[in-house]
Amino acid sequence: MGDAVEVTGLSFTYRGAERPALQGVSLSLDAGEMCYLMGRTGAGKSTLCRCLNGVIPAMQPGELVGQVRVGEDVISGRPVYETARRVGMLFQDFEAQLLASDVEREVAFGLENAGMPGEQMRERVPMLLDLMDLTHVIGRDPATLSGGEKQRLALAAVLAPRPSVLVLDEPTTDIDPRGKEELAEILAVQSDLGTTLLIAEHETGDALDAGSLAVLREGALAFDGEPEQLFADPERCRELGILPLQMPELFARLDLEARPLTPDDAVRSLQQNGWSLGEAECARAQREKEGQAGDALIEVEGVSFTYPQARGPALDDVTLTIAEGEFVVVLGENGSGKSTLARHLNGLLSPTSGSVRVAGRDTRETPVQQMAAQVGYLFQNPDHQIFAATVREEVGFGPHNLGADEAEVERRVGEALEMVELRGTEEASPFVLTKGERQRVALASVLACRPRVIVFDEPTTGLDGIQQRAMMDLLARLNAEGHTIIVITHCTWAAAEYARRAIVLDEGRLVADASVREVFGDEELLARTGQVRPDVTELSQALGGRTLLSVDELARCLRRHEGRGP
Amino acid sequence: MTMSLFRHVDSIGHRRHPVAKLLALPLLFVAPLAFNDPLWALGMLLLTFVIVLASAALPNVGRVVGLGAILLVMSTLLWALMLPEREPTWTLGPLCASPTSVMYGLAMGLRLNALLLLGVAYVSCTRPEEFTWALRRIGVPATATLALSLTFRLAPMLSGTAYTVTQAQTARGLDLRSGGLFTRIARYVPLIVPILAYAMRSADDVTRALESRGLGAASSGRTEYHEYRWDAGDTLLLVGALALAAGAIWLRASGLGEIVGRL
Repeated sequence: MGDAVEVTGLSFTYRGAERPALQGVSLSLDAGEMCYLMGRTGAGKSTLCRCLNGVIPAMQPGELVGQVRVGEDVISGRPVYETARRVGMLFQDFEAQLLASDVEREVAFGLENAGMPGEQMRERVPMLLDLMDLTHVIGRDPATLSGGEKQRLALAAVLAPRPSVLVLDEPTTDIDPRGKEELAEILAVQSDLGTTLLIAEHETGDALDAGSLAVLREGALAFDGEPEQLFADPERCRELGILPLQMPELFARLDLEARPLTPDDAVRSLQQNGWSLGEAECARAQREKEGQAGDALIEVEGVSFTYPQARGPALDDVTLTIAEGEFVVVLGENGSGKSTLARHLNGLLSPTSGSVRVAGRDTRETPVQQMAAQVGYLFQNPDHQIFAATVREEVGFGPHNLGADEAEVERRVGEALEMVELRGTEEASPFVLTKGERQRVALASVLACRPRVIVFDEPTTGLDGIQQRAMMDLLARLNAEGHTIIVITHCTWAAAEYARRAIVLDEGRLVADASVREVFGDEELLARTGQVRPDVTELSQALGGRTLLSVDELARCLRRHEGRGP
Repeated sequence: MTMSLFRHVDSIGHRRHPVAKLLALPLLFVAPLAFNDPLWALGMLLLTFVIVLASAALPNVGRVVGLGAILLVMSTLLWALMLPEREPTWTLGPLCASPTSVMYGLAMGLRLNALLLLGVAYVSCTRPEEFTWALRRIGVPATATLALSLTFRLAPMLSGTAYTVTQAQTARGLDLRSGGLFTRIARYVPLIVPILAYAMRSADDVTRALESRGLGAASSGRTEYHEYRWDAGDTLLLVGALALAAGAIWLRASGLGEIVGRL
């Protein structure tokens, strides 16, 4: 059975920080309750999570006021290893939490530390691996597992000591839609078993089934109640930095009073009130989404690639062509070969067999440095490239490498910062900017090379709902200005709404290459490749077998029959 | 991809008790170090291949062939030119060498390769956890073994980050292959800064993760998931390694396997 959690008047200011990360937060969780914690990036979610397992203040210096009580015990100020048996925590960077050389030892690590007898451990560890569907990787090095497997392993390790409270800090950040569904099932089981759960998350849909929802804004508790209360109000969601659910947003757009949260409820409500899809409107929406592609720019011909010491190929005989001006999304489960394919497009990887030609040049015969002027690549984590003392220097790095003179570099830096709306930050240190801003600095540094193609590896990861929308709008603007955009993402609403073409990979093989509408309309393909549809697409399919891809598109296609409904 | 050299297979080496392997390793180093005659050093090198095979480490040997070749060539060259008190046979300006110094350099290269192979055999059949556990069992303080554990954990993480950072900067046109020495050194700054920043963050994350999983919690001592049992094979390994070391010292003391009266 879980323990109740009582957070009372909690404030925390990191040493050296100007303002508190948490301000007077009071929150109660009943034993066995599942609570989602949301809010903008930097709102204090991770700080609150760390207060719950005692990492703050024990391992992160700062000024703490108030207290956290788990069951009858005050946690604040106790050593973390003492709290560990009662409060398990899955950190945002779960890979840093994997410490052992094989899967069984990983799960057993916490039990060994607790001094559990070997026989008991040897009973419990296989049970947990079975629960997490990890028996097939027993004996493997955790570093060799897929992203989803690593995440389930990290969770198994946290669950091993049977904590009464489980804290998860953005657990779905790097995992594919199927992985998210599996994780949701595991958490539901834990909740049923009576474990108290606090889950920090940006994905609004994930929080729908929670018993309660807490939202932080600038360190203070801005909402504490049932998720339905907040999610029914899209405007309030936006104010709090949460991406609204598509169903209530659609109904708000249609000026309807009802605020259904799921496609099923929305279908019932719309049909009862005489709404249906207009044929002419749907056809028009379909035409508007179809863009005019230019000449072939990237030609991938029979490409296979195997990493050194890998068990099998990461790419298997992939052939495709990308034309100038396209907006392409690459979909697939973790480990399906998306990033490997993308890194072939600018020559970072050379095919084991087959060829990649960019603007007619074979990537195997062209130095990667020269490819930078043709294909820009924005890595998932901006901190993997930021190094300079100022934003100006960071953004000017690429053009300098390509041989531009000082005046040209200055011009390109100005233009690139203008495009990402960071004009005025030239002299700032990129290290002090927010994650969203650092991502835009990284993008500006790619744009300054003036590439014809830009590849984005998970551009929305780690961003809050509002930042995700802003990033995707920026990509759309770049595409409208003539850049060919290729996006690797697990974010289905963004893929459906912004891209025109989808490439789907499965175990290194190309299994679909079609318009986004066709791909999201193919239920069998989506099920086979672990993808899910956005709510609007589910709704449009249920209403009239159409594949509509955004709230805006669906709102324009819905017509109300006169004389029906209240 | 993984940086680890540990092989997830079963072998005679894998089945040995961690303490037996830890104690046998320095004893096994003695025989290759004992002889500076290249023929004897070659014999010892071939002997280490038996240990490599018994540890299922042969696939890992391929990963260190380049390093072994560099050790052999550089050692032969440097010792050929630097071995003191030899009658020079060949001179070129201030540089001089003799057949003895060349042979000594060659033997030194072979000896270093034997040590390298023994190391590869050891890490191929011993997990980092077994190594640190064995250290604790022979009395090394827990704080020191914890520091070693962290190093084992951070090394592959940093290696992975270095790979990603290099790709990210190369994709922005960074050229690490052309230019003079100082130009090239300057070009490493865009790699070093993000890697160091990541290293500092990772060290914090790993420390927090270790404590959050209860490291240091057990008042009555940490237990082990895997039980290690000492058997006759472990005794045989230690006795064999001891006999090999003693035999090598005795042979060398008898004047065998020696071309120069020094180590």
